[in-house]
Amino acid sequence: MGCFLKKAFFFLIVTVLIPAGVAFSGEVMQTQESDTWEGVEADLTSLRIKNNIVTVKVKLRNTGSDEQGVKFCYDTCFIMDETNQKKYYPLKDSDGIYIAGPMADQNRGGRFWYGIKAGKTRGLWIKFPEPADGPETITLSIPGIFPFEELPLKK
Amino acid sequence: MTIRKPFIIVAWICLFLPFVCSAEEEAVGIPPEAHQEAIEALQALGPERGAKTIDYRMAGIVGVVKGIESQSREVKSAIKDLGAKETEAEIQIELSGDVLFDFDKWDIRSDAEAMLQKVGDIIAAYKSPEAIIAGHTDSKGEEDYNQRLSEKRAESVKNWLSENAGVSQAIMKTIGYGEVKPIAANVNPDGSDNPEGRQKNRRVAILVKKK
Repeated sequence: MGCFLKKAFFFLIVTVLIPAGVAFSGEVMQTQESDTWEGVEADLTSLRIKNNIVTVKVKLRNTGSDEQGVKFCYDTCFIMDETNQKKYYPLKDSDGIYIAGPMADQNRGGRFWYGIKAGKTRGLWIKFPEPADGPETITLSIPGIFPFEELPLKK
Repeated sequence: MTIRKPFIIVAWICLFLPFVCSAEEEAVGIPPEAHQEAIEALQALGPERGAKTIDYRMAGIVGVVKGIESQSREVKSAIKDLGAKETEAEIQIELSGDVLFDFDKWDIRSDAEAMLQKVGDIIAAYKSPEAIIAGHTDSKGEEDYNQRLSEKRAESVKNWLSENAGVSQAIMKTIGYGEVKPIAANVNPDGSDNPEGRQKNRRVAILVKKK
C-alpha cells in the first residue's frame, strides 16, 4: 500500500504539478533582438484577445553589460495584418492617452522611457484593436525591436 | 504510511511555482480599468477599428519585414545610388553597359553585382508585378550583331537577378533594342566619332513597375 501511494505521489508530481508550473512560468512566444539598444532582447510573453481587443505583453531584457535607456512613443507601436495590408495603432482613452504601460510621461499620448540595467528586465503592455478582417496571424512592431512576425491570433 | 521529507518539499515547490511565476508576470501591471477603457475606445473607432492601409513605399519591404523603417531608408538610398528616376507608377533605372559587362561580352562583371543587388532589392521592396529589362548598344559594328548583343545582355541581367537576388523570372521581361534607341549622339555633327555619346548608349535600362 505504501509503495502504491509513493508511486501515485510521483505520478501526481510528474503529470500534473510540474507541467502546471511550467505552464505558468511566463512562457515566451517569441523573442526578438533590438537593433537600437545594445544587448536588449524582447520576449513576447502574452498575446490575448478578449472583446475584440488584442493585449500584448512584452518583457525587455538587458543581456548586455551596460545600462540601456530604452525610449519610444506608444504612437509608433502597431500591429500589422499583412494579409489584408492594414495596420492598427494602440487604443486611446478619452483623454487621448494610449492604453498601454508603463508610461514615463504622456507626451504624444504616452512614452516608454526607462533605463534597464545590465541583467535586468522591464515589462510593458499594449492594447490594440483586433484586426477587423480576422487574419490568422499578425506582426507586432515596437520601435527599436525587430518585428514579432507570424503571431497566431487565437481567441 | 509515511511520506519522506524531500517528497513534501518537492510537492510544495511544485504547488507554489505557478503562483511565484504568475506574480512575476503581474509585474507588467495592467490596471484593472484598462480593459474597459479599451472596449470604449474600440467602440468609438467604428467598424474599421482605426485600420490604416499599409503604404508599401514606406513600410512594406520583402516578405520578411525586419526593421521596416530602416529597410525603407535602404531602398530609398538604393534608388538614389543608382540614379534612378521614380514616379508614382514606376522606377526607371539605367545601368552603364561598361560597368555591367566587359567589351563585347554579356557576362556580368563581378564588380557590378552590388549594383544589381540594389536593383533586386528595389524590385522586392515594391513587390513589383513587372520589370522590363532592355539592352542597348552603341552604333559601332554590325546592326544585327548589336541587336543580338543587346538581347543577350538583357537576358544576362535577368538571369543574374533571378539567381542571385531572388527576383521571380515570371515578372521579368527582356528586350534588345540594339543600336536603334540611342540617348546620345554616336557621332559628332562633323561626322567624327563621339566616344562619350557611345558610352552613354551602351546601357541596360530597367523599368520597375510598382504594385
